[in-house]
Amino acid sequence: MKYRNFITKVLCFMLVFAAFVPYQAKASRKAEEEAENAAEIAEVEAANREVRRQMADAEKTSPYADGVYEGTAEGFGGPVSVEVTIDGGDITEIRLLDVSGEDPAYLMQVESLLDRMLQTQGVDVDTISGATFTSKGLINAVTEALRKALK
Amino acid sequence: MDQQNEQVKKPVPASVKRRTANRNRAMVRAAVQVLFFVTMPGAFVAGFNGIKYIFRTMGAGSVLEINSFAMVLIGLGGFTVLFGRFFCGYVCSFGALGDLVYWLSGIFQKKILKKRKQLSLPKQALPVLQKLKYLNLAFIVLMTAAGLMDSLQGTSPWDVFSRFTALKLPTADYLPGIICLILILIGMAVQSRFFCQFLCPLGAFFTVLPIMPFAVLHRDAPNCLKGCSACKNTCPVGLKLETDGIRNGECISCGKCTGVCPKNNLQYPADVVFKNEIIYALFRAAVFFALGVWLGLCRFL
Ligand code: SF4
Ligand code: SF4
Ligand code: SF4
Repeated sequence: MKYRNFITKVLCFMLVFAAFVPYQAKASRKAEEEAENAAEIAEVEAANREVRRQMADAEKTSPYADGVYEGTAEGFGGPVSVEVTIDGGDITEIRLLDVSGEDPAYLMQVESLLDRMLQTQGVDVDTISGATFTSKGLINAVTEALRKALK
Repeated sequence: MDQQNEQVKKPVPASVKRRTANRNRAMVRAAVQVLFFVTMPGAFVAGFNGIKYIFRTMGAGSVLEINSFAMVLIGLGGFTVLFGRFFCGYVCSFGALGDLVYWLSGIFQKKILKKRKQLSLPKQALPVLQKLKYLNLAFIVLMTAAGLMDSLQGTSPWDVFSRFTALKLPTADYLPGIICLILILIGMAVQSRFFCQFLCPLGAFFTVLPIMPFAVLHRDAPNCLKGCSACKNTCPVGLKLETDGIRNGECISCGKCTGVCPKNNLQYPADVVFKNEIIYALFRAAVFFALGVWLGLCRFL
């Protein structure tokens, strides 16, 4: 039969794709449970942070002075520069200024780092596997901006 | 003057026509490879990052997302399903590096060492060595799923290569990778498509993809000249072209064999539509270029 080869291959592919379905279902269930846990933890942490912030506000212990600061570091194919906004002692915004040396597919990977850094209010975040250079460039650029922001 | 007139009057012999067509095809291919080398040198690494992403995520039991690396993998895979391994033959910068090194090595051996034939590995050894890349893929995939890949940081020759394509020098912690790359370059000088045939984990994945019947070359074997093996001798990945269709996933769609066949026995089904092999190649290059830009592979756009 002329198309036997073709049909066999298509069937194999469908089998492989089909295997992803139960996996995704199971992983989603697990992720939901974890998300619930994480939500609870986050609630407690948010409350803690609020308390700490009130204490900090009272003593003004944020290490950063309010303002907008620029930082630059070497990424994959050139300098990565960012602009960090400090407001009320918190990091409120991180903007990418120049990332022309980074490939777009890699840049999309590291965008999640910006959220992570805002969430944790710091640069202690893991690099993204496969986009190490771009990740490091971004983290180091923010680090430099924060250094300038130190009181 | 006279000679020229004669040439115009006499019908051009088929062999001369074939040689001209061959040269044009080779030049078009080289031009396409240079274009992609300059604009999308990181395409193959991004595609393989997609494979690593899937296995890392599944190893950790997390939910798979369609992120940019996964998209590149799906894009490259889908393209290969439809058009065969055109990506390997015309687009991939590491494959192009292999072609360049082998070509320079040939010039060196013929012009300077005055060798008549370029050194290469015995043809019988190729099919065996070609299986190595599956081991390489399996090893990397297992390491990634086990979350151990970070311990191999600095050993990848691709990381070193991508430093060079970014016009940067690798740092000293990439020494193992630099050594691997040098060994691979030596291999590339000895055997055409050395890395692609024997080691490339992404190539190993690609071998199972060209499933569409129109993605692969077809060969009209009963129509062959007796004892002819011109196609086999020119194939950079040493394919034995004894069957009707070239279903072999090793074929990188370079089109070299189609050019040498004295009977025009090797054709893509799409050649009926495109009439001309070069136009079909340019069509596929244009499709990939658009796809690559959309996937975020182009460093300028
Ligand atoms: S086999 Fe691997 S290195 Fe060779 S051209 Fe294909 S993707 Fe590139
Ligand atoms: S079979 Fe033809 S198109 Fe395929 S790799 Fe060999 S020479 Fe190139
Ligand atoms: S070069 Fe053409 S005629 Fe010769 S073996 Fe190959 S397909 Fe047949």
